[in-house]
Amino acid sequence: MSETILQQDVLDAGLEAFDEDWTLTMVLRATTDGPPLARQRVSEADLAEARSEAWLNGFLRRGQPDLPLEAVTTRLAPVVKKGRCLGFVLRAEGPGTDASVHTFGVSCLAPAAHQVSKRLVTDGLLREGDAYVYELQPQRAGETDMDPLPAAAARHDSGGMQIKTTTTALRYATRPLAQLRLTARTAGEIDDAVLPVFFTESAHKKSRDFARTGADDNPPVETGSILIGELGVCPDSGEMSVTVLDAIEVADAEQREFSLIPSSRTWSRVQAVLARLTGGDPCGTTRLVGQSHGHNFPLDGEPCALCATARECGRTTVFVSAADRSFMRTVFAGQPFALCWIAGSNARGEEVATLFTLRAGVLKPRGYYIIEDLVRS
Amino acid sequence: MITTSQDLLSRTAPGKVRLRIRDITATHEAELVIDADLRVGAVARTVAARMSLPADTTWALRSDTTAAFLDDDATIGEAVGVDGDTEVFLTATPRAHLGAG
Repeated sequence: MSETILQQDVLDAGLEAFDEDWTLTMVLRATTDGPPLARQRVSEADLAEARSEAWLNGFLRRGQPDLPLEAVTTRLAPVVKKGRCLGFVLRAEGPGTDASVHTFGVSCLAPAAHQVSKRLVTDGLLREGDAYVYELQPQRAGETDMDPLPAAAARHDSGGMQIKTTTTALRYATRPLAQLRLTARTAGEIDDAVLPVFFTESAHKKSRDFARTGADDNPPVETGSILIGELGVCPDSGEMSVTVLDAIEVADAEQREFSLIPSSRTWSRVQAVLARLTGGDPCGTTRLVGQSHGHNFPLDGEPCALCATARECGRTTVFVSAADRSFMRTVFAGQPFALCWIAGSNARGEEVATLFTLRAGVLKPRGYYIIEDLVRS
Repeated sequence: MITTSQDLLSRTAPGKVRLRIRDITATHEAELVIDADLRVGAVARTVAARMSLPADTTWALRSDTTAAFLDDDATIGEAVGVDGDTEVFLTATPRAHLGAG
């Protein structure tokens, strides 16, 4: 159901749509022309990741690295073409800044659709593993006849508890991008439109080694690491960057053929190592920036007909699963710069690895730089 | 950034516990003074919501002292084993895993 949204589609939809308040309803079906199995209003929580990405690209990467997410307001407008909702546009505004516009396709709401599908499985309307499709239907405020979502209502009910919440301000190292790129080598195709990401040589090796450790088991199991690094800001361009400086093994975890389940001891160790690295300095720049893990299981089946002639084999075990997606959304909530690095193998038995970061609400493959080890600031 | 202006009690009343809960990346933090007889699972859900963490996953509370997950069905008073002014440090942890399956 996903379709690329062109800039012209956004213009055709009319930016005056921002003058109205819109809601989106997600409709799930077993097949494209089947009857609706579920209708659910898209909640603020469903849109949280898109909003945080608008914050990243509209402000953090454009010379306002210190602007907190809470200071950004967004308005949503649907993108409709030939009667079909292709996605939505968020217009993000911060104090004293120009508005920026960010486009998201239907596929960015796949995690929300996955949750609805799980409920349908529980209710017996779908079976585990069944395929489903979903679409978005926009309504102007007041047009919808749906009840408010219980989950959305619960978000504001603290049950009489006294709670004070704070969000830690992002802290940055000064990292001139031109200087970093001067001696860097690249992994994958570099796209200047996406957030620059750097791995130090030693962090890259550790990320890979921890991810591939389980490949030697019989049967292979999933293993991985939590990535430690820092956010950087370029004094020349104002562009933000992420640099991975170290990797902590996901130890004491349940390692299975198709999953890696951290335990309480895993997280305790990660926090202890991080505390040691930062020396307990609350103003330091070192932080958790992502994870690496290996899809170490072998691919089923024989190499395809293209194997003898194709330069590269595109059939690999490297992909972002629903579990990987959920892990990133929850462990790194509100951190649209977080990194998802996955290793695996292709149908030729060659080792492959890809870095994924958020782009238009979806974790997409992208290139990155590998640099010499840095002296920690 | 403080997202609510409600001040906490300067002194914890009897039957209450004082908690400081952070998420794994220490991006979000919550300070609470709550009834000791509230269930751990309910506290985890409420705190996760107030921290704007995703509501479509199960959140657990982990003791920073013992490193163990608190029992969702226990009362928070039983789980942390203290009552009164002692502040207890916990981490809100999603029941999430990595992997292709």
